[in-house]
Amino acid sequence: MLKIYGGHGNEVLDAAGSNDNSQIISGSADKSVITWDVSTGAPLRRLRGHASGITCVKYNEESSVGISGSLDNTVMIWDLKSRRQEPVQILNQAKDCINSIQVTDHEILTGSVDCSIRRYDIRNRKLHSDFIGAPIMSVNYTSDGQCIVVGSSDDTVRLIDKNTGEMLGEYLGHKTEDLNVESALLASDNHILSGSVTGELWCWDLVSGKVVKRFEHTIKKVLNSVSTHPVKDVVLTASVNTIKLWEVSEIKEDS
Amino acid sequence: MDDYEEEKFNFFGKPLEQYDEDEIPKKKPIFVEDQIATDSNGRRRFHGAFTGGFSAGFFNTVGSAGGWQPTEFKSSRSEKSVSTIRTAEDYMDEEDIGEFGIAPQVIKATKDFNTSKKRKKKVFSDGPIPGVPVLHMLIDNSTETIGYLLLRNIGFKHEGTEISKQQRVYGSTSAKAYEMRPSIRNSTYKLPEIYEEALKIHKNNTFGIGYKGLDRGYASLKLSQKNFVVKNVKNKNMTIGGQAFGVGAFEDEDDDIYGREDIESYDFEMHTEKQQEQIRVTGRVLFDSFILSSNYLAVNEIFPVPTIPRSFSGKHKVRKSRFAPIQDESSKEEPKKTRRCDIDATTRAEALGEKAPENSGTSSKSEDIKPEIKEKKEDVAPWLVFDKFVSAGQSDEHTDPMVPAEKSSSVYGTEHQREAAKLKMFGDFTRTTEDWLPHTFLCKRFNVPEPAHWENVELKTPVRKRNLIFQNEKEVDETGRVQSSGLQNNPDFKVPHENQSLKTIDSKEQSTKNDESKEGDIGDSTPLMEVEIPTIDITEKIDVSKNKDLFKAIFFSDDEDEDTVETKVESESRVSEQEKLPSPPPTSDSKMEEMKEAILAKDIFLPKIKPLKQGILSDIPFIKFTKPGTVPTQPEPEVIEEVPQQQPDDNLYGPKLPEKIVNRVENLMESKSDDVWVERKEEKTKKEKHKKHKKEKHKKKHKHKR
Repeated sequence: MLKIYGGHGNEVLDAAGSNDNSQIISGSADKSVITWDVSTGAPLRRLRGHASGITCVKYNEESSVGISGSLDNTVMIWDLKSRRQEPVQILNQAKDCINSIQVTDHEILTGSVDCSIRRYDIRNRKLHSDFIGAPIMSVNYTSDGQCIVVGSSDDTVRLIDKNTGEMLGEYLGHKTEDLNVESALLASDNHILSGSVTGELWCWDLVSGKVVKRFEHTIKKVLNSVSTHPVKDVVLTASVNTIKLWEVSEIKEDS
Repeated sequence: MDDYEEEKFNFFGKPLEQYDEDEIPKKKPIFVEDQIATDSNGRRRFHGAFTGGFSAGFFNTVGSAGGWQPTEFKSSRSEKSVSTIRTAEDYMDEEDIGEFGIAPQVIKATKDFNTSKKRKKKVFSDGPIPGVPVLHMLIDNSTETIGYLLLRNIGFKHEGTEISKQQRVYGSTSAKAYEMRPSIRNSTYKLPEIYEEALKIHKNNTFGIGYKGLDRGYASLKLSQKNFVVKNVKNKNMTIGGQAFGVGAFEDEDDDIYGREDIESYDFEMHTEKQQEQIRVTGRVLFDSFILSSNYLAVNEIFPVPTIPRSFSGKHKVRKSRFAPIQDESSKEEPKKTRRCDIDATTRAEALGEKAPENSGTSSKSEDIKPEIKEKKEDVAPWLVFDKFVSAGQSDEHTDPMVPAEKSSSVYGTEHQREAAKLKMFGDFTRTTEDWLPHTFLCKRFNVPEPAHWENVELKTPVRKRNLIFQNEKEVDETGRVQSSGLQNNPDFKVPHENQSLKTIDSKEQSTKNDESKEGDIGDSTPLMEVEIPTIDITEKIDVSKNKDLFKAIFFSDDEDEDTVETKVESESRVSEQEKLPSPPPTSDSKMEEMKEAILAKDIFLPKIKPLKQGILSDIPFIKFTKPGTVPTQPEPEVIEEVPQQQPDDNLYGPKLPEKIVNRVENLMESKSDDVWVERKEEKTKKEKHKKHKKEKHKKKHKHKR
């Protein structure tokens, strides 16, 4: 354990590190977003604006802006360079809680419980919403940025084409029930990963859609968080109170 | 006798003029009261009762130049108040600051250029190696001893031969250097005048030479603050002070009644200079500059060692200070206090000899707690989404985390979307695209070109300009427009609404055109009528069936308007061609779908600002204004003539438009009087030209405004 950053009044549900590794942004169920200085541990900003707990926070590419999604159905964009206490912009198109956010250099992608993913294209000033059909738990971009991996609560992970909105692949088998189970994508863009209620990390081949392997984290305990390394084929899974780091060198199909 | 005297005297020069004493008026004695103080320019100073002190600067008004004008006190979070320190100079004017004022400003040389004879302490720069540079310590002037330097600092001047620079030896200091050189020994030093007086009195203190403490009379303090000149007048040390307060310019200051005068200032002897010298030299000279003094040194008072009390032991006892950490004490005390007495109330009562009290409310506590909790629960409820109020699916009383939450039964997405999702037909069916404006700041942060002509997006929904236009609409299906332009399986449901609304536009247009103002530019998507239209009954309901072609007409025309950079003429002609009245409806579905696609593809529900490739004023034929009646005469009559030809077609849009005009024209043609006919025609053309121009102008104006 390297450092503890204390200051939130309730559970911290998401955190992100800045691109220069000097700051951490965290969102909590206490409705506030806090940015921390990594080395000193001091909170730099405490941003209050959400009406309800925050589910996800992300930095933009330059880490000058923090984006937070909340149970109050809004996504708030915060300016981290100035001392503004109000959000720069509020995205309130969603009709239900925001569960997941991704940010690229010109887009903000949000997944919401109202069964739609929304892609805010800043460059073209457009908002594209895709109705998926089930409450969305997590959204991820593929490395090429052309597809979106959407994990939803109907025990399905879908691969959606970004520009057309068409479904390119469907990955089934795992069980999410109605819990917030994350899905992810390996950096190599070959495999799709998802947690499950049964405690297994499911791995599918992106192209074929077949289940390649199932890794066990903790049996019968929900594996709710999955995150992948941006470059390497390394996966972090979290379940209850344990974190496991998986290095996936060669994934072969389970016979 | 006089003559004799006069002859003997030789007169030189011109004699003074004779004058009568009585003639010349005597000079009035100028009283003090009459004297007026004027400044260099001759202006009156010291107005009114003001008789003294420094002049009230700024032409005696002190009304500006930062003077006595009251200033506002303003302090905010962004601009903190600056405390201005007012100095006496603020109230002085040029005369006071000038040479003869009370606070003369003198130009002096700065520190760098000040060639003072005092030795200055060398400040060694604290660079990477702090302190005295070692080099300085190693290399030193050997002939200038410390004593020499001290004396020189005091002000001793070397009489006699000055140490020539040749004799200065540089090198590492050695013991030899401290030996007094013969030249130094023999030379005499002249004591500076300032110290002569001071050194006469035996010094039994550790003050500097000539130092006189502050212990003086009250008034003299004032004097000492601003003493300009120390003058010796009759052996008295007189100081000319700068005090000008309360004293008139013409009066002298009163004598200082509070100041203690130094009696010694009265102590003087009358003797000549020679005598003074003798006095100095009489004592035995020691070290060439010291003589045995007449005063004896005061015996230093010796203070004995303090007597130690017997009870004193050398051990140090730690005393508890008041400010020692209180925690220990409090921690000890508190548990005792918080702990309930073991004694019961009844036993206590017995001990005291009183009646035992009745058992009262331990039960009341629980009652108190419950209402509190209830209140808290109620407060939690309102946190639900601030601008969207959702009916509570769950009752808020069940906040027990262990109880599984009831699943919300809210359904999202439209029917069609849900169906499409079930069928896994993602894409067009499930995708909706809207315009979204990022905040300019957001654009900056994401390094994206900012929207130039859009204003900063506030956290509001975009203003719906459509509402302004469709005020006469009976039913406006706004939700249908706003949500999506995505494919809907029931276009029939939506389209008639559209048609109705659009129809009303047209009727509105027509009604306005009836006024012959021809300012019918309401919607960009609808074409303008170039021709006069008779009044129509707006309330007339029009069949849906007709509107399909209407649609076509509108949207296809719209297409063309968007695409081409046409001259006005061409566009007019095309528009007129397409203005076909709706034909009896072909109820083919294919057409419907065509139209559907047309609608969907264009996103026409939103009014758009058409970026014109041409300039706004490009279509206006300015030549017309210079040379009236030249250029566009030809095309217009064509248009007019065309219209009547098209008239009998059922495809013409709009009711009964050009008939009358045609009739008129025909009538006119038939009329016999050529003059009248010509005139009218010309009038008409002119009118129409004008109107067309007007229309175009207005058209463009409207476009521009948007």
